[in-house]
Parts: sequence; structure tokens; C-alpha cells
Amino acid sequence: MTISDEAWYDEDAGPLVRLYARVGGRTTVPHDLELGTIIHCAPGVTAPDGLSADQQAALRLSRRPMALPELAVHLGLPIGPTRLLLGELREAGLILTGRPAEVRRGSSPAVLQRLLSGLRAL
Amino acid sequence: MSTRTKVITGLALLVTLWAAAAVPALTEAVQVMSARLTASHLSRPLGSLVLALEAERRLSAGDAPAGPELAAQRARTDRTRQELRTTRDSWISWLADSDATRQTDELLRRTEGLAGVRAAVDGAQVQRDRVVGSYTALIDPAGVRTPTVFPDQLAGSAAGLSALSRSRELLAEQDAHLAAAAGRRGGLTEADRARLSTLAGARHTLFAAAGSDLPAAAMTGYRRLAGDTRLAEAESRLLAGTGGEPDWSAAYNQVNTGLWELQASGTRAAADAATGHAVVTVVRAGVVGGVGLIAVIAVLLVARRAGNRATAPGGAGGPGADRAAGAPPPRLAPLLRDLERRNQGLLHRQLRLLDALARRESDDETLGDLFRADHLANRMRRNLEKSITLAGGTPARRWRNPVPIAEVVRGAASEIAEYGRVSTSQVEPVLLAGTAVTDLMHLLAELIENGTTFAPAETRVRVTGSGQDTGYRVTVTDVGPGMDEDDLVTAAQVMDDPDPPAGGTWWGLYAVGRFAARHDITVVLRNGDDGGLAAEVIVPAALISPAPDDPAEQPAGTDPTLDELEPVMQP
Repeated sequence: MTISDEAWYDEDAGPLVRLYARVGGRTTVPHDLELGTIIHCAPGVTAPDGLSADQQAALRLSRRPMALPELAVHLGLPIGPTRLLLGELREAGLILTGRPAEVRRGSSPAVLQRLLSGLRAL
Repeated sequence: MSTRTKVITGLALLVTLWAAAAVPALTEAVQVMSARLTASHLSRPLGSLVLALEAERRLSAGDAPAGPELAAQRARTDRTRQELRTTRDSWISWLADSDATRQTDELLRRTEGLAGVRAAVDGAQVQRDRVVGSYTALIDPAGVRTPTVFPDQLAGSAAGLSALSRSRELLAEQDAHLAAAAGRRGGLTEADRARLSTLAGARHTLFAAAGSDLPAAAMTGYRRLAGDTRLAEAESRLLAGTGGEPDWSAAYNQVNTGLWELQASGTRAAADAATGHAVVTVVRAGVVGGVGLIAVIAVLLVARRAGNRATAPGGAGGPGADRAAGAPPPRLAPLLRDLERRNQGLLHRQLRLLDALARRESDDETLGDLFRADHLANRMRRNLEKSITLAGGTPARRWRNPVPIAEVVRGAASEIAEYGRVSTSQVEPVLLAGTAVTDLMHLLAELIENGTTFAPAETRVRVTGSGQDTGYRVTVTDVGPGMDEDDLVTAAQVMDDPDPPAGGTWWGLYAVGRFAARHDITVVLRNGDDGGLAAEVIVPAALISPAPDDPAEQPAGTDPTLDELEPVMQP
């Protein structure tokens, strides 16, 4: 039997706070928060006591309007848990949610062409 | 306690059943063995003493009681008696009572009166016939039981051999009376004849009775003796008063010797025949006693292990403490360390897999299950790393770079069973040196777990952190009952002591002390201002560095992807 001396440093060691702890083990995602929702911190709010660290971070990040997936990337969370945390912030009136601007009618075929080729490239 | 009671009750029942089966079997075996051993060692000296007493009786009753022949015989008698006494007092005295020891004891006790009989003989105070009676009383006072046959050794043949032996003793008694009569003037009287014929009748009856009850191997010798009529003819002539003394003497010696030898060979044959029974008895006792004993020992061992498990702690005690109690042999230590490392590797991979699954999962229910699995695995990792640390090692999860202390605090909270009850929002941002990350995290986990254990279930445990002149202070506060002064003193001692305390109650705080000692961290327990317990953890300044500015606070525009998205999004 050989002695195993495996060790993992820093990033390799994995997250200190695991996903279940970041969302308090909750999984009920508010489904009306769609993927394209824009998140914006409500004007003039300060983070009250009792918010999770990720929710505090989300409030700070959304001082500038930000799409939900972007926010998820910044927080390092999957989309589902991000929606859950944001749902709670929205209920507490701490953030505003908006829909993306509709693509302008009569937008140029060039834009559509670019979109199509972009989709094909996926 | 209930497990222990059950185990003890079960054991008591088992031991009782075992004793009920084993004690009679063992007792019987001991008796059988004892009977055989004592008989084989005592029968020769016992027979010698009987024969010596018979010889002395004849000489004492005879015509020259004070002669040198009698003195020599008395010396021989004393020697044989001493030999019997020595044999009886040897290791045989350790054996259980048997017929051989009882009959030896009785004969030795009776022959204590030998000196008195001799004195009477020497003083010529008694008639010679009375002398014969005195000696006979020494050998067999009631006239019904020979000292030289041991019924418990012989099983079925005891009655026959006993009758044979009695008939020989009666013959010797007859001879002694004849000797007494010969020494008297006028020879046999009517009273002598009557006595002799009574003895002869009894002797014939006993000899005939013996014939139906002897071992088969002794029957040839018995028939030869029965067919020898010379003694009977001499006896008839004596009783009829027509001489016959010389014939008697010759025939007597032959028949007496023949009877003695027949008794000896019959005894051997009967003892051999009983060997099978003895062996079966002893083997049965060995099996009953041995198998029962093995069962009792096995149950004891199982109970001991169960007992150890019962007193082992749940999550708080940890495998480290288990191992200290189990005390593995020294050469096992490297093997156990290697197994711990391997377990770390497996757990690490498992946690990584669970994380990946949870990030991919879109179904709420499945995600909840994955979270629970992740939580369990994380608690396992905590126990494993605690075990490694308490044993003096370093867990394989390491940090070279400083880590935000808030993450360490939240990581600690996530390691306990009731992580949902922990509030960690008031932790001032600083960085903790990478080397202290796992130790401080597990230290805080112990304190937080204590809080959730002792405070009411609906209350929260608060963890706060703030910078101090001497370092950084993390405070774990619960709203439980707190501790009395004695417990606070004990807690401080337990955290100071490098040796684990007995019993699981204080193992959690013992681990706190060990984690703290590795980094000069100070832990003080005190009762909170508004009830509950407050644990203050002072992390030395050397392990703390200031937190960089939050990247989220940086002005917008630094991230080009966000700018590109901007035109299509409505603010």
C-alpha cells in the first residue's frame, strides 16, 4: 500500500461555503424571474440585517442594472439559486426587475442576419 | 444506559443458563475423577493397614503376646498407618470427597484408639477374645462395611466385591479367634465353637453372594476358590472338635491370599469397566462447560464493543476521540493515516461531483436531495479533518493565499447539522492566513454546534467578527442557559489540556482547545450579558490581513462584456 500524499490548494480545495449553505438549503425558485430579467437595486436602499452574504453582494452589484445571468456569473451561483435569492430581495422591495427592451420594430436585416449567424455558430 | 442494561440482563441470563447446565455436569465429572484418583492412590495403603491390623490382631490374641514378633508387627502396622496418613494428606486432600477418602478418614480416626488396645493387651487386662473384638472394631466396627472397597469407583460391581472383602475379613477374624483359643488352656470352648460357626455361616453366605455380582474377569479366580474345599474340611473338623488346626493354618493362608488377590483383580476389572462412563462424563462436562464459557466470553466481547459504541459521541465527538479510546497498536497508525488520506481524496471527489450535479440540476426536488447529500458529505469531511488534526496531521485541503474570514465563518456554520439556525451577517471583512483556514473553521464549527445544541431549537446562534488591537475577535453567541461557574472552569481546563477528557461531554471543547493551540488562538467562554453563552475567539494579528476593496464596488465600465450588452438592454 502506497502512502497517498495528495493535497489540494486554494481553488482546488473547493469552495469553503457550499452551495446548499449559500441558499440555506432552499430550492423553491420563483419562476416569473425570467432569464432575461434586468435587475436594478431599488434607489436609496441599504442592506438590512439578516441578508445572506450573496444577497448583500447582489445588492451591491445591481447598483448598476444588470441582467440576471450576469449577476449569477458575478456571484458564482447557478441560475436557479440566483433567482431564488433575487426573488427574496424583490419581495423585500430591495430590487426592481425589468424586462429587456424589445428589439426595435423594423430593425435592420443586418442585425437579424448577425443574430442568425450567431445562433448558428452556437 | 438502556443498551447497557439490556446487555447486562442478557449476560446474566446467559451465565445463569450456562451455570445451570455446566455445574451439575462439572460436579459429576469432578466426582468421577476424584473417585478414581483417590481409589487408585489410597486402596493399596488402606489395604496394607487392614492386613497389618489383622496380623497384629492374630499375634495379640495368640499365645505369646509380648514376644518380639508382636513388637515387629506393631512397628509394621504403625508404618503402614503412617503411609496411609501421608498419602491422604498429599495432593489428594485437594480432591473432592469420595468413598476412598471417607473410608480412609474413618479408618485413621478409629485406629487412633490403637494405642489403648495395645496397652490393654500388654497389661493383660482383657481376655483374648475381647482383644480380637477390639481389633475387629478398629477395622470394621459395625461388621457390615469393609474399608477396602469403594462403591463410587466401581459402579455395578461394588456389592459383589464388598461381599467378597467382608468374607475375607470374617475369615481372618475366625483365624484370630482360633489363635486366641489355641493360646488358652483347654482349647476351643463351646462359646468359641458357637462364635466360629456364626462367623463361618456369615462368611459362606457372603462368599456365595459375591459370586453373582463380580466382574466377569474375576469369575475364574472366584470359581477356583469356591472349588477349594480344604479350608471347609479343616473348619468342619475344628468345629466338630476333631482336630484340624494344622490343616486350617495351611488352607487359611492360601484362601486368605486368594481372596485378597481376587478382590484386587476384581476391583481393577470393575474400575476399567467404569472407565467408559467416566470418560463420557468428563467429556460431557468439558463440552457443556467449554462451549458455554466460549459463548459467555463471546457475548462479553460483543457487549464490550457495543458498550464502546454506545459511549462514543455522535457528530461532536468525532472519529479522533473514538480512536483515542480504541488505542490501536502503534504499527497500525500509519495504515490508519493512509486510510484517512484516501478517504479525504474520495470525499473531495464526491463533493466536487455533488457540486457539479447541483449546479446542473433544474428540478427543485432533486436539487433539494442533492443539497442534503452535499450537507452530509460536508459534515463527514469535517469529522475526517478533525480526526486527522487531533492526531497531529494536516488535512489535504489547504490554502496558500489569504481567505476572507467571512467565508471561513460561513463555512464553519455550514459544517454543522442545523446550519439554518446560524446568523453570520455581522462579520467585518478581513483576510485570514491560508494556513489557519481549516483549523479556525472547525474550531468555530465546534462552538457554533455547541450553541445550536444547548439553546432552544427555535433560536438562532449569532456569529459576529470585528477587528481588535490584538487581532480579530469572532464571537459566537447563543441564547441558551449558559454555564455555571464550575462548568466554565472545567471548560477552560479541558481546552488547555493536551490530553482528552474522559467521557464524551467535553470532547467538543477539547477539540476547540486543540485547534486553537495550533495557531495561538485564544478562546474564552463567558456568560452573555443577556443570558446564553458567548464564546470569544481571538485570532492573533499575525494571521489577519486587511481585505481588499470589494470588486463589486469598482466603477462600472471595467467589464467590457457588460458594455457590449448595454445597447440591447433597457435600463
